[in-house]
Amino acid sequence: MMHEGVILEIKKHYLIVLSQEGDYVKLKYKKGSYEGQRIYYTGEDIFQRSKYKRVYVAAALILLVVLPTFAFISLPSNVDTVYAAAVIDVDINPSMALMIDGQGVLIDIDPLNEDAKHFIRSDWIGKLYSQVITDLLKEADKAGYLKEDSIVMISCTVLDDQISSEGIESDTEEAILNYEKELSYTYLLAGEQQLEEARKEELSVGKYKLYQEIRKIHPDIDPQELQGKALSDLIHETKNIKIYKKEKEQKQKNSQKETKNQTQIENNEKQSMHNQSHFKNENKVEKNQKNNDINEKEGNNQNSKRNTDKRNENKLDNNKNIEFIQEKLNNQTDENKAVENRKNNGQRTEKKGSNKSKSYKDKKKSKKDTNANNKK
Amino acid sequence: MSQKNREHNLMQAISKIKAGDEQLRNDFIEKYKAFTVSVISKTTNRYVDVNNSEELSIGLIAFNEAIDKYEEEKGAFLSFAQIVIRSRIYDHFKKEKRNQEMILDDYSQIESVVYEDDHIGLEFKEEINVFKAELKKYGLTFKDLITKSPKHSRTKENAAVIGEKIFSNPILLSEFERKKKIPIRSAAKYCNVSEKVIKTSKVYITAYILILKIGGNLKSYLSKKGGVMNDA
Repeated sequence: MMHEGVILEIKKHYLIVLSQEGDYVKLKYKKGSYEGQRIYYTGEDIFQRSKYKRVYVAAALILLVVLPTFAFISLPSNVDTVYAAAVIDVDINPSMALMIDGQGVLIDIDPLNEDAKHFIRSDWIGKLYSQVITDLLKEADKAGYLKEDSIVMISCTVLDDQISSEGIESDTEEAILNYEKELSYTYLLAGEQQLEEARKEELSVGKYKLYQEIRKIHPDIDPQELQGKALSDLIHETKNIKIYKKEKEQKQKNSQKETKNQTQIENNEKQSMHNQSHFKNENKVEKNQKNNDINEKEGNNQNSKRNTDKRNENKLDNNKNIEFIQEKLNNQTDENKAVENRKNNGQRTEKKGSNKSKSYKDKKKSKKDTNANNKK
Repeated sequence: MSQKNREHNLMQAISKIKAGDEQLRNDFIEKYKAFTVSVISKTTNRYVDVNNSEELSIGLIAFNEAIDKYEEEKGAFLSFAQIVIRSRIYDHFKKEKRNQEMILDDYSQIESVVYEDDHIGLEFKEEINVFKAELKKYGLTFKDLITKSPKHSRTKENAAVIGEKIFSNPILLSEFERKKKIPIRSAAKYCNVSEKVIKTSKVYITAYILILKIGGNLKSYLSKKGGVMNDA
């Protein structure tokens, strides 16, 4: 993507340029530059000091030798020879893989499902990652993929371990927060192996994880079934909308509380109310009545344990399903039951630098939450 | 799009162009203009000057030439195009050098070529100096403009609109000039936005107003692409 700009100031290693679109950017210094000069520049010319990279001196020296060779082969040709530092899978409904280099510039983008093939635009290449996300969202909106309950799923696989995934995460967050519509999204980190496995099934990392989860309950599910569907659809399909929304509200309220105590108390109350009401909805399954009584007596702690009760397979399995999906999306391993318990008790599980499931119905509070998290 | 797909689409386009589709030829060249500019820049090790259109013309002509001369046996189209562009640019430099009586042995010598057109940049130079001085009065440097400007286009657009409004309101403007900062509360009311919105983008808004004040080339430069809304 090419821009025009005027050089405002020349510093030692970079230039300060005002673009014709009104952006103030730092560009790499090149000989012959002078203040007041009007120039053309592309995404590659942007000066980024180790934003994504933690550069170690020796490695930097090696790069100095190696990079010019790659730089010679400019975009968009021969992209495969320019090493991708990270692969970011994005699912809205269109499923695609973004390949970015160490400077955070998009070097390639691949569609992962049918919808994405017609959706992807080649002029995103060369742009900075955060701008690409914004553009992507706009396109998705235009094409009608962004609905009320849409959830954007983003997964990041770092290939070059000098890349800081936190940088990517915060840029993602910023791009989504700044988007004109409120969006829900999930962000997860993945390893190279998971990426490979996902690609074998021709899925994005996010969908692959979902697939793994759903397979536990429905072992004969075909991975391709997930291909054309939006995350929100998948969740709807796995069960009751009411449950999911309430879970969401629950979690939203969870994350707004600053002290664990408060959370505990209030959520205990809410959880039991929640359990009661959703059980009441289920008139068909009389067997729930028994469980209902048990729950009311023993409180919500028992909820997850009762989940294994086959009589409640229908409702509760799906309830578990959704929680599972959310947990898995948050990269949990074998602590599911314990975590569910903890959640039911109202404690928050916090994981550093990874995945937060956010609903932006209440932006400010979510932000506060992030700040609180970051301080910790 | 995978590498193979991209190549395939490219090939298709080129065959159509060779078959006589002139419209497609123009579109194609336009589409790859960024690529061409990027190759020129890498060959000369300098930024392609907007005013010094000679390099750019040569590069585009070379790209066009590459389309005509390309055949599948020559490998990937863009790699081929790159070679042609570099070659033409290099030839051009040789000529320029001869005109300036310098000996060109290899690419490294290109550094010393100076273009006469440089002086066109003066139209901005003056205004930029004024801009810099004004910013200083408001406690800002160019560097601040980079670090503290909104990264996202929507925030930036909103900030520009606010800047416009403040500038066109004599009372707000004079308070701005007097206090050397944005009168946040009154501006927020007048523009019908929250104070927070203004505070977040205050650096950008300040710079924007100053550019409007300076006017001239700097201002009209912005108005070309969604910068300044109203052209005065």
